[in-house]
Amino acid sequence: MGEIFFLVFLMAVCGLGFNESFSWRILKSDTSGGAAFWPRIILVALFVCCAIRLITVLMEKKDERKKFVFLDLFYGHRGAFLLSLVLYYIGIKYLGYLIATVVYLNIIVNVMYKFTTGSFGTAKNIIVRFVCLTAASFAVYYFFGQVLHIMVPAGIFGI
Amino acid sequence: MQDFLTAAVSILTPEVLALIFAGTFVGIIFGAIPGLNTPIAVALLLPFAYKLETIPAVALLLGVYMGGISGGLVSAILLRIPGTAAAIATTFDGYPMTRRGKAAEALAIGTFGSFLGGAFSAIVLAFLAKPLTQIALKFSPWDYFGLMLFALSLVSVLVGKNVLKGYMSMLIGLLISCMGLSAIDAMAKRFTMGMPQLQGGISMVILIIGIYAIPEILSAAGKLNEDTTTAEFEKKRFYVPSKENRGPRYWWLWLQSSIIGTFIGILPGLGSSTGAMLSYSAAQKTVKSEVGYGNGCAEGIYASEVANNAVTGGALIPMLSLGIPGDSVTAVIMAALILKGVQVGPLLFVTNAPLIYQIVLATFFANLAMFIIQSLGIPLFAKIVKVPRYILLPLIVMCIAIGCVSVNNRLFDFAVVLVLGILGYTLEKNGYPLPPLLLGFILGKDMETYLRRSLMTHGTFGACMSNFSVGTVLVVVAALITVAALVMKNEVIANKLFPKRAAKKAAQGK
Repeated sequence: MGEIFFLVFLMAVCGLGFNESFSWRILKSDTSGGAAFWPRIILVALFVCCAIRLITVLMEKKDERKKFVFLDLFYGHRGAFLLSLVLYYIGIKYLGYLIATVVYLNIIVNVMYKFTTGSFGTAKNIIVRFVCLTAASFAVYYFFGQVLHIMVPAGIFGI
Repeated sequence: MQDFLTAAVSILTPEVLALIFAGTFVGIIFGAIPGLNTPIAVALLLPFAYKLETIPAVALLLGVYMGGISGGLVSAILLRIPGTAAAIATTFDGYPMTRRGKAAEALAIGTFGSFLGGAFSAIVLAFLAKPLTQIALKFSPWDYFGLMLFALSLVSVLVGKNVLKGYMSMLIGLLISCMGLSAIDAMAKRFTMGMPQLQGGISMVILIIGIYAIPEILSAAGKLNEDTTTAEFEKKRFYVPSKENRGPRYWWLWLQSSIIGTFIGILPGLGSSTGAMLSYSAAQKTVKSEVGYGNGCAEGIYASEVANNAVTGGALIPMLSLGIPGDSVTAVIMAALILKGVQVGPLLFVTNAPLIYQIVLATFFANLAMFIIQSLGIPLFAKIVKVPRYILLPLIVMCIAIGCVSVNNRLFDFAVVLVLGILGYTLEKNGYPLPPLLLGFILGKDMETYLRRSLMTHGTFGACMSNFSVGTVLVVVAALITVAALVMKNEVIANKLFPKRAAKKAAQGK
């Protein structure tokens, strides 16, 4: 059932894209088909491929259909990690790269350590991890910001 | 001969050799870290190179170039995250070999293959630069379009089990490449969803990270309690592939991959990723593997790595003989030469012949330096797979975040990576192969440009096809491959067309 939804979604995207292509400006003197020419070929081809696949899936017996993998992305450890990525993005946006990275690494590494081993380890382990991860964050921040002169995102605190 | 000896004397100095090694080392580091790439490394070293004499400057930049292309194999083999687009095909067999506990062997094969490809292309550069460029010059936009279509159909058919899914994946890649201002006329903002950040389209680095790195990280995050790969290996100082993985039976594969890579390099714009993919597809068809492609065979790693490094020498050929850079890195190297007062182009062979040989020798020694550095570094690299996931995954995410920001100096790209990551995970887990998507994305923009230019020249698609040329032949072959693959791999149609074969199969099944 999942793949059917996925294919219908792709077909809808193709339909919307095809419709949008009519709003693009084309030079009257353009003899190459214009800006919409190539995307339309792709959209039609993708729509046809999706339709063929959809028919194939519908023709398969229900018990022969392979389970469509998508929702497991949002459950368990995987879901938690995906959520951490989103929170990291938000953190960088508002706190800046350095602070967000220090916070992200220290939380996620300890949480994943707990998931893996069943405990957070000794106090000494936690302190060693904190020092190493904070040092790694500063090293990356310095290398990209000062050596490579890349504009590392700064947050509300200006760093 | 006199020119060659003069060139050898100027290259074989401690200063130049040290710069080649330093450049190669920097290149390997930039190539190995996802998000960083060779053009960034070359651009960063350009101001430094400007202060040097012409030969040391070119030697340094060539070192970065060779090291960068090859460095991508490290993360591709160990983590299934290609450091550069050139190493995408290396993941197909490199990572499965790592999963089988042969990380060091996979790295040794990749490094050795890279050296062979690079050395071959340096030799070609020395002897065939001029005539090969003349052939490449005759390629029209229609021929380029045909070649790209052929490459796409070949990869879509050969990579993955389901041909239709391969094509769908390729079409999604082509569609993503359409995002942003339209090619040629920049008249339309296509599929930007009202976001000004998407007007320039999506960067290749962002797509590679999104499609490859994030799904791999998410997949690993769901298996925290499973054992990580055990990469036991013989402790040596210098790693070369084991005897069974470097015998005469690989000679044909090495030659074939080197020729494909060098030829693709000569054609401007196609790049090392296309070379490696085409070589891999060709190897699947022509060279048998006992282990099987996709299961961690040496043939797969050789096909990719020999070809992607062979592209480097090939890409230098049009740069030197015509002043047309084969890719973005050779464009920067050409800029360095021009800054030094060297006029690249056809006259270079007449006015400054020793320089050609100096570049050839520097290319060769850069490949040698890459081979030595990577072979020595294998024990260090291979230890990456032993790092616990709870440390490795967050550190990769940290590098990815800063890598995304470094591409366009904006955080928006990190959000794009996350969205692409979800798409990549969904596609991959459901049997939609990712390589056709990536190749579709890489070639999409150029394909559109070449097709529209062809239409401007010939008027209609029919007129393009009736103009008998390499392009027409390749378009027809691509169409035949598609039809044949769809028919042959569809059991219902294949059984009706070939009843005897179906009966034989059924008997074998029983």
